[in-house]
Amino acid sequence: MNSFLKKRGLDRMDLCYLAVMTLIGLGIRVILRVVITDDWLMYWDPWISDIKEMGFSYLATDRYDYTPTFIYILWIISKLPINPMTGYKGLHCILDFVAAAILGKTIYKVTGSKRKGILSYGLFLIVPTIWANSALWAQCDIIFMTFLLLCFYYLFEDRPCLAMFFYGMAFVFKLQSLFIFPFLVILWVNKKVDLKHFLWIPVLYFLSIVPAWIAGRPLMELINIYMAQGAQDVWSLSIKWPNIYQIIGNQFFLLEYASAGTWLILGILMIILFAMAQKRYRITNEFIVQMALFFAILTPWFLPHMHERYGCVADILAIIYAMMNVKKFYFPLVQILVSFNSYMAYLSHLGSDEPTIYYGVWAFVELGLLVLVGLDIWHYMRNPENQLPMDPGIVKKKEAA
Amino acid sequence: MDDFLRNFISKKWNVKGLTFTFLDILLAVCITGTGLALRSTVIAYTPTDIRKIVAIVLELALAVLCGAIVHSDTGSRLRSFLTYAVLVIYPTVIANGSLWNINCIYYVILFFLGLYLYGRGNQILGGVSILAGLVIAIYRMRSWWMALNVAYPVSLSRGWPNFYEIIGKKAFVELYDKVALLILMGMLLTGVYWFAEKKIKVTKDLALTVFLFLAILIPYFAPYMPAWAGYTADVAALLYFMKRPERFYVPMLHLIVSYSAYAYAINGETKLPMVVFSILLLFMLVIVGLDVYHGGKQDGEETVRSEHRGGSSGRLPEETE
Repeated sequence: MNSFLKKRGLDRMDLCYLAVMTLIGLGIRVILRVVITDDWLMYWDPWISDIKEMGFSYLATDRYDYTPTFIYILWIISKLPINPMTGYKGLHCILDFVAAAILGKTIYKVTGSKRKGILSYGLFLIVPTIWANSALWAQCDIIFMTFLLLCFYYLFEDRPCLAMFFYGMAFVFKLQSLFIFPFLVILWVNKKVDLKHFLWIPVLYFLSIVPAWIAGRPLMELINIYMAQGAQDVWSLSIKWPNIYQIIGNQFFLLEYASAGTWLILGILMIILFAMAQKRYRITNEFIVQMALFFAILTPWFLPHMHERYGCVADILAIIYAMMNVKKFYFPLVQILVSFNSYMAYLSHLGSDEPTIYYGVWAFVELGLLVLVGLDIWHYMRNPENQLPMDPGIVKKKEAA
Repeated sequence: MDDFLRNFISKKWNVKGLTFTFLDILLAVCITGTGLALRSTVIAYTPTDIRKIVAIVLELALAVLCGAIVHSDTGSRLRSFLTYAVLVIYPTVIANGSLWNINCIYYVILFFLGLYLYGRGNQILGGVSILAGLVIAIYRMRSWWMALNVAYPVSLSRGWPNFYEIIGKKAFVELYDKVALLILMGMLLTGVYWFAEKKIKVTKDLALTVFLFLAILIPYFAPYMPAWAGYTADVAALLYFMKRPERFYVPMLHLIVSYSAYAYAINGETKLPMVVFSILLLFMLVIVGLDVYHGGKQDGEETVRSEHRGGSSGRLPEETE
């Protein structure tokens, strides 16, 4: 036992903490497993029932609006000899623990502190938005978040190909992974990632839809599945996510602002990318997290039709950011509070009471976080120590121009 | 005559090693009288029984005890007297006992006795005292939940403006009450792990900060907390201010939050929404949490340094010297 622990650099106290936190995490999920939400009743349960009935041929139908990869998972769950909801929630809860372990390992890697790594594992398991997503709400965001965590782990390991593979895997499951895509462009500009690595995204997506295509669903429908997804839930400009529409009004100009909001965020991202690509910067692990967190907050702040759960990427990145820089402890505290409040707004207030604090106030709080992390990036970029000389070729071209 | 009186009021008396002035005695007598007069104005709100009378005596004893804690922590006679004086007329203390007849003092005094004993080096007895206080507190709060089940059939908060005031206190009540306890356990365990890993010794200095932090944290996340759940933190915040005057706003804000919770429970309304008080409590939790972190970090570094110097594990420099 002692040699096992020593090999991993752990002692009995670490093991004890990890074990008890695992039990606490498990206890929370066991208590919440009984909740049946609308999403389960309206989507996953009928889908699983249909899969049970139709088998593989279900993939040929247009009854599902998630990517086929998720349907493959439902197919596996439908084959399990247990209650489908237990199987569904159980799988996602297992992924909670896997993600906690990856986060712990990532934090250990970037900070070199065993204590912080272990604490991250423990704290991740009691973060409300994590257990509420999988065990309470029966949502599946933990799948793509686990892949995103792996993407960050390998970016910190300086293995961009593997990192982009996992980013591609995250994209295969959820469109929300695109929130942080711009930071990958900045990494590419700064030679941290190559163009060929980006190929993982279309390749993995294509491979993931092949079985459904073989089953008989038209290829174009499968390629456009995210577009179709985006066309749903257009009854409000913000579906309880505290963003700009909760300030200016989310029930007016539904069609006009839906398009305008998309173009606006595209324009904002272009301007930011343009400004950040002007110089070459020293890419540190903290800078990577800063950028990713910035885009994870910025994009849903302007995009229309954002759901309550869309702060989940920022939740995790805020934890990583605070672990890397303890002075930023308030980021996860505030971000998770905002995020969990949105969860509860859906889970407890839908059709009944309004939340105690109006969404607009939370939108301003989220804006505050955006500004703070934006300032962190600004200060980093302004520091001459973090600026690198440009490629001689580019300098020559610029001079010639 | 004038000079005689001037000299008389500031003349130091020494009785069996205890030094005091006439002004000290005057303040003690007058403020005790004021405290009793204050109580007499509201005492008729609830029936006065032997429990209430004993509680009032214990409230005065708590004021003396807290004065002793401050004296032992700061060495300042003035701060010690001020602590006694403020506590004798502390609004939430008076409202809790004389007005409302809740009498939290029966367990709160055990917490502070524990803190005092811990500070005096008697850690086992201190721990036992705090544990006894906890048992009584849990029993009292449980009885209160049962009594209030009719008034608040489905609510995670029974009057204390905590976390559930922000996220909604009426959803998943019978699930979140258990989940909240597990999360609280997780947080406490994380704190214990952090202290143990960094080999931080909870010195007398740090003990009060940790005590206050826990007194704010536990009712903030525990379910079914009554309006008087902030009693311990009210008193601890005052001691904290006596030790760290720059944190003057902590007892001030906590007292406002606490008394507003009383007002909400007794009158049925407050002028500000309760969620504002929840945010204020969160702010205080963060401030005191940071003080624990910085205090712990400092102590941890000191411990490591003393180990490097060849000192024994966990001993602080002043103790080694």
